[in-house]
Amino acid sequence: MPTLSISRRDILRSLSLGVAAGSVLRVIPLEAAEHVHRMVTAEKAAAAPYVPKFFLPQEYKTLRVLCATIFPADEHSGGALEGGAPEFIDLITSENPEFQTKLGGGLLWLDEACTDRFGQSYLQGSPENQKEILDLIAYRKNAKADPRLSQGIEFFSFLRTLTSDAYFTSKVGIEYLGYIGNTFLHEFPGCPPVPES
Amino acid sequence: MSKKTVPPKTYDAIVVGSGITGGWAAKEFSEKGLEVLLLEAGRAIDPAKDYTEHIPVWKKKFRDMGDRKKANAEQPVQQTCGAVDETNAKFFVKDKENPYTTEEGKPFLWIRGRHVGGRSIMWGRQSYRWSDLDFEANQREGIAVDWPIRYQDIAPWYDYVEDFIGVSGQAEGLPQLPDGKFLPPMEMNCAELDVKDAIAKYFPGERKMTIGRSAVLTQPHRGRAACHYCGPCDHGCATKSYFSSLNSTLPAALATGRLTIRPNSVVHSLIFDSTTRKITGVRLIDAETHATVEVHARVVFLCASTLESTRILLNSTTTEFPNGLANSSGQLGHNLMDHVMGGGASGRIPGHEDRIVQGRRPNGIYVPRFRNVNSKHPGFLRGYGFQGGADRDGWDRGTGMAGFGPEFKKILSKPGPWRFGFYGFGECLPNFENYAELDKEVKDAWGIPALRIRCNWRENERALLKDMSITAAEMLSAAGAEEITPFVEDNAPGLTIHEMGTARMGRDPKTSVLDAHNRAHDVKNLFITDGACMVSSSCVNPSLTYMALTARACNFAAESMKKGEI
Repeated sequence: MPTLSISRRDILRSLSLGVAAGSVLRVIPLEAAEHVHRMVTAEKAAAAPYVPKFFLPQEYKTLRVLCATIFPADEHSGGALEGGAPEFIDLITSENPEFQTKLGGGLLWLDEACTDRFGQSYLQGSPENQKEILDLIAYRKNAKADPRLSQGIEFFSFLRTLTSDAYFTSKVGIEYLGYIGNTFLHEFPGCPPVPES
Repeated sequence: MSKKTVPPKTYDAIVVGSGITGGWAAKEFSEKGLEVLLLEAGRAIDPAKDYTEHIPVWKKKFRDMGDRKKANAEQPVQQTCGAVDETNAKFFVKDKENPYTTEEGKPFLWIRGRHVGGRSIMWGRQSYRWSDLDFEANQREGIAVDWPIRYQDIAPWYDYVEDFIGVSGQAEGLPQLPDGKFLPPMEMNCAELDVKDAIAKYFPGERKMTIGRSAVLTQPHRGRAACHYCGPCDHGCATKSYFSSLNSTLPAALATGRLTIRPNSVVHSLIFDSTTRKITGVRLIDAETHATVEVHARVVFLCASTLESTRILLNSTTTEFPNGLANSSGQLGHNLMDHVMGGGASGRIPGHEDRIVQGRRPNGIYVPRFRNVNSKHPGFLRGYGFQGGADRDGWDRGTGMAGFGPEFKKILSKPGPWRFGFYGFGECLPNFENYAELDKEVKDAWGIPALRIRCNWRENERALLKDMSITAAEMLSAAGAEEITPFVEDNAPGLTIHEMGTARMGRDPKTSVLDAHNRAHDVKNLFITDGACMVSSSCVNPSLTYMALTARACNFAAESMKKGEI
């Protein structure tokens, strides 16, 4: 099955059954492609420091760094941190034992793998070390060459999914997409050109 | 919007249920000058507070993924419906308060809303007429019993209902899917037009693709605003642009000054007078105080939804009707149906990379039934239609991709390829062995016996599902699609939320519960006009037909009352 196919439930949800439009997270992507307006306000996160519900302080630090690495901020747009990805991932992980095993175990694996290779944990490692290990676990094909990477690859894939979910449902993420969302439009124009970005 | 106190008087009509059919019954009777009491099991809805369609996703704690813990605890059944999320879960019942039972390994998913407006707040809005292909099917094939009506009996009532609710769509002149009184159709996008053209070219005279016929306004209509394409209709609609009883029929009924709505009124049973052999009223339990209250009327309309209306009758036993009121035929509770959904295919449509979809059209495309229309299929009876549509892949394709960092982020900001999906909805044959009865042990939160539901798909439904995946792939192939992925889902009955049957209409009181005007053969002032009355299921979405049957039955009842026959 091609990795790009929409799942059947997406089709169902995003079309005529009245569940179009963001009722389920996996629907948003279909519609998120609607480049309508380009909004460029960056959200300033100015709240009190977040106290993680599930992750230990050290794990949470690593989580934040990983999220920021997956979707970094740049001069034009916020990234996963500005989108509240670590807070969101911590919230849903705190309520889901399956997520706890996957992410908790994955963070342990990451630090052990870094210690084996570089003699120190992921956070303590140099930027080069950090890039080296992520370059190994961000691509499934690497598991063929080195099966010991499998757990790390599964972990990173899952974290990337959650970070995407969080980032592209955040205010800054939706602004980055230029997605207009569930707001008032005067007409449904069918099939307009893709706006310049 | 409700008057709180109910004076002890005899109403002209009691309507049980305030959803898509109850709203119509309330409107029709009150506009004809009758005093109406509308009983709703759930709470009142305040659109200003309860509608949430414009809340941006980032303001929701769980970002629309739903509150998993809460849903698992309170709504294990309801959350199987894809429409349920964290801000509209309140429009679906709490499963613990509203239990029902099924047999091990034979699930039935009963998705319910108990509040003023009922499921008309969250319905799919697809609105199609039945044809004589549907009304004659049982008789032609010798299945179940014949419908006591034909298309010509209901056609004027389709006109009447469409004119009031507003249905956007395109006239196509197809005998199996009669045209209605349409507001202007919504537009298809470029990938959809490709598929439409390919179907016209490669399947001429057999298959046709049209825009969905939807009870969503494309222009201002009867004081309601045109759709503004924000998308999440199942969260309510501040501009009343899609039809719901709360947006449309109930305000019209209240405007007459003759409608009293009594929320939090869980109907326990009907009160039957052995001497006159008529219903004198309704016994209800106040949902808040748990007090038993009796209310009275000359005529009673059950519009509580397919299984709830039947449950009320099953729980209304008398010496004359030991197996449920109006059940001399023994058919009450039987012949439960739901559309079998989930065969289809998706595929990538090449090209149009410079085009995009803008706004959230609350509607898709429709391919009307083409099997067993002009020729006979060797593998199955009846047929199916496809809903579907095209869109460009969005950021979630990234979750299956490799990489991270600035380049990864940039790629996901661009739209992916166009992808088209067909999703089939098939007819379910009536079968006596698909049925609901009262559970002998389980009761709901108000002490009313719960239903025990036995329902499963059979050979014909499974054959339809399989064929859907084949014909959908054929059409995508004709359109030059790539990466075509056929699928056959395994959805439990009930999940389509088109449950119908269990108190069928028919000509013969020995084999049916209701007559040609939705009146109980056994009880002259009792009518059921929700999905319970259906004799077969067609393959098209049923709500428009329920509304037309309701308006028609109200007209008949009001005329009969005027003549003193009721």
